[in-house]
Amino acid sequence: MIKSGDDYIKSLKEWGNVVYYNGQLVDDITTHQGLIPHINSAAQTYEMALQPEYEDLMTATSHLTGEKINRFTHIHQSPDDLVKKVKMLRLLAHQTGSCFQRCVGCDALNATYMTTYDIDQEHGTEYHARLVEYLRMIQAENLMVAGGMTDPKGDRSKPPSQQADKDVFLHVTEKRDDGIIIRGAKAHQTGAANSHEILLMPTQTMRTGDEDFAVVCAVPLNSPGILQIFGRQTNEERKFESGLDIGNAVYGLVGGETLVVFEDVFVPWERVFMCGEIDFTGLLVERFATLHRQNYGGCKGGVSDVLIGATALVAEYQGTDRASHIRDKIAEMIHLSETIYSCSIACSAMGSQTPCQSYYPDPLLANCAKHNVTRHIYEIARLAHDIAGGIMATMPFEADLKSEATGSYVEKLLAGVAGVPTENRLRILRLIENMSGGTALVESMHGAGSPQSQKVMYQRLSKMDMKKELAKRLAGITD
Amino acid sequence: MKIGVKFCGGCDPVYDRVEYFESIKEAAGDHLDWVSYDSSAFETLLVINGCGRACPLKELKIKPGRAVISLTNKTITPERVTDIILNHTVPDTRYRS
Repeated sequence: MIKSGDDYIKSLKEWGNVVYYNGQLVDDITTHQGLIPHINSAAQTYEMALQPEYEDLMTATSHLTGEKINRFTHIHQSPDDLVKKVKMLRLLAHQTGSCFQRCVGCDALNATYMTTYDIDQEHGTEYHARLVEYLRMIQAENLMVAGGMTDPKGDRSKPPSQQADKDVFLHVTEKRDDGIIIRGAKAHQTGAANSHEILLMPTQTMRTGDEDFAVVCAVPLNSPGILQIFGRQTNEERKFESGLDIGNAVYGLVGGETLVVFEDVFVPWERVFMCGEIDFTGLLVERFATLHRQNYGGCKGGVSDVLIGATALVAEYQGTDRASHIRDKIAEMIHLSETIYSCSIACSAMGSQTPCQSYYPDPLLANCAKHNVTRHIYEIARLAHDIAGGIMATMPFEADLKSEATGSYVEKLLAGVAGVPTENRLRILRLIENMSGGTALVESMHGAGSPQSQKVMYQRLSKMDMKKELAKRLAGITD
Repeated sequence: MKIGVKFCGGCDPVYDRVEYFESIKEAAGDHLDWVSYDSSAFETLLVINGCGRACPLKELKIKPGRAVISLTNKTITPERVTDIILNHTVPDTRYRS
């Protein structure tokens, strides 16, 4: 069983995922500067579970075995479990100031757990039993699972079976007595480079003719035929530096996303949890999306806590903290952050039991949570930039601070209030820069589904007919 | 005397729970033997909550006859906490601000 963060890092070294970074094959992801910060973030999901002051949130009791397990491998058994998941994410974000990736796999496991049960009830299949056995292994070994939903999709106006190149959607190419062969890709795969397994799911509702694309299966990421291509990020060259210019030196900017390619990968039947049952693809996608949207008030709420703290500090360091408009803007940041957190708590507290006995967040409120994140994180970042000032975009390199030729100028001319070292001011500005620009914002916009997908869910879930009846009754309309 | 310790999950603590617990341990010296909540081998359980919500109290499974001291802030001095534990005077501290 993998226990500590160091155990996890050692396991990755042995696992040997094939990852390309900037055109080069990475020999060892645990020693590559482009990946180390993301690995450090994920390692905290292991390390903090061992600490008594965090284990109440970071661990759970397995409903399968009664053993204490990492909460990221847990199937939610109550609304309290759903609430603890959100609290755990906020806690981890306080530690890392970044995405720590492991929630996607947790959501994939929970969505698949529910849906395999329903498929079996309808079709007489045995997917749920297989998934339970897989889950026992994941819990016992404490492996990190990536959640593989999003296909590259190609021409969005055409269904998967009509694509010029079918590899833009992951699909089954062959069914054998011992398993299936899959081919295609998954895009935007958070944490996949440093995960052990990937749980693959269809990206959208599949229709007649697309049965080969209705596949759910679990694959070790070091399987033959799998390679990953790491995505570029804003300012990623700074990961190869050291010192204050990085901003957040230890942990990643975002999750670290890859394009995962599957070239004729064999999957044994015991790891196949859907194969052709198109009638359950939409339900699975909706459940995964809801479980994942549930999270964002937790993780982004926690990241926002760090950003708010950094912004308050920079105001102190620069002597602007007593200005009423600064206080007002920080109050607004707090309001927005607690709003998204409260949405995630609400959808968790209002969670309900599913036929398989596990618990599921309220989908309308979960979509509200994510939708608010797509807006509020941009506004929180904007306010941080407003308060930090233009210096955030113009300050010199750390090397200039340390240089004999320029150091004294930087020291005296970029000083803030007396008693605060200039270096501290630069450090906190770099942290704000790191956390509030570029890739981090885009992830908040599109992670777990773009804003339009939340609006689609509002249309479906808002019970508009009931609302109209309420209005008619009060208006005295009796048609 | 064996004292069990249980922390809340620490999602949003209003004080440093670990630092407070360390100061209680220091004040108690050799008088108290600290064990984890999971071990069940304690006479009194000290629950260190990060705030007034005191989340662990909803889920505790305690055998009858055992005392529970729930702290939700650090206004009670470590020496007083030790005194409360040692002398078995267990006020309900749950709702103190």
